[in-house]
Amino acid sequence: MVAATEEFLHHQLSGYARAWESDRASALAAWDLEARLRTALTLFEHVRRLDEQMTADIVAARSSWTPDSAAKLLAFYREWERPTSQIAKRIAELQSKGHQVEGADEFRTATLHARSALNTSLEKLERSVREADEGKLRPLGEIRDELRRRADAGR
Amino acid sequence: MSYAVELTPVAEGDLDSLPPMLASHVLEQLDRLAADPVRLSRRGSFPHPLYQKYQFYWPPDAPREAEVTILFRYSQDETTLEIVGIGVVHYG
Repeated sequence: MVAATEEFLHHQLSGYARAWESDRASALAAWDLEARLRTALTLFEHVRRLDEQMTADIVAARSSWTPDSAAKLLAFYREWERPTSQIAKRIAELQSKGHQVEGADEFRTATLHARSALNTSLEKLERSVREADEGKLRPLGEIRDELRRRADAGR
Repeated sequence: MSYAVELTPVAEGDLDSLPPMLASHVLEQLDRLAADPVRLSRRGSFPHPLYQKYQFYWPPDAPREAEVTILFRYSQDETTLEIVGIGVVHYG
């Protein structure tokens, strides 16, 4: 079931990313960009749902993400994220001319969420958790004092 | 109930790598989180379903330029938030 969904979503996302890559329009009308944003947001929602389902399966199995399962999920986020800089530029172009672009805020939020997922290093997280398990933790107050001292010394 | 907050060296390195203004905002948000972690956080999805996730935007009063994600867990005696990661991504 999930495998079939993954294949379907993979085809959808690669078509979406390719469509943006081959886009040669010199400028987009607001209605056109808004329609494209709706497509982007619908696809993002599909990736999020898959993420939630994979997470629920992992929790039910009392397991955790492996490099393979993480790579599989991240491939979807990466494919969705591929054209986002190009899209953000299109949005900025229209907004700089005074146009309201419906869906622009939601697109910004979705982009940040996708990049947050892609920004994750499982290896680094595991290292940090090991540190916590070994009791290598420092109180926030101590860290704050040190940052203040460093900032004062730099003045 | 307010919780104590502690950071692993990895999370401390994450905090250290931030520009001072953003680092200062993250410290404020950690205080906020300590006061009400149940309301402000949600169970993490990716990358680790067993940890809590608190996300907020930067800057706080302008169009969202960045998203900050704090990953943490509760200590065994449930008095402390153990911060295991602080991630920042940008838009544009």
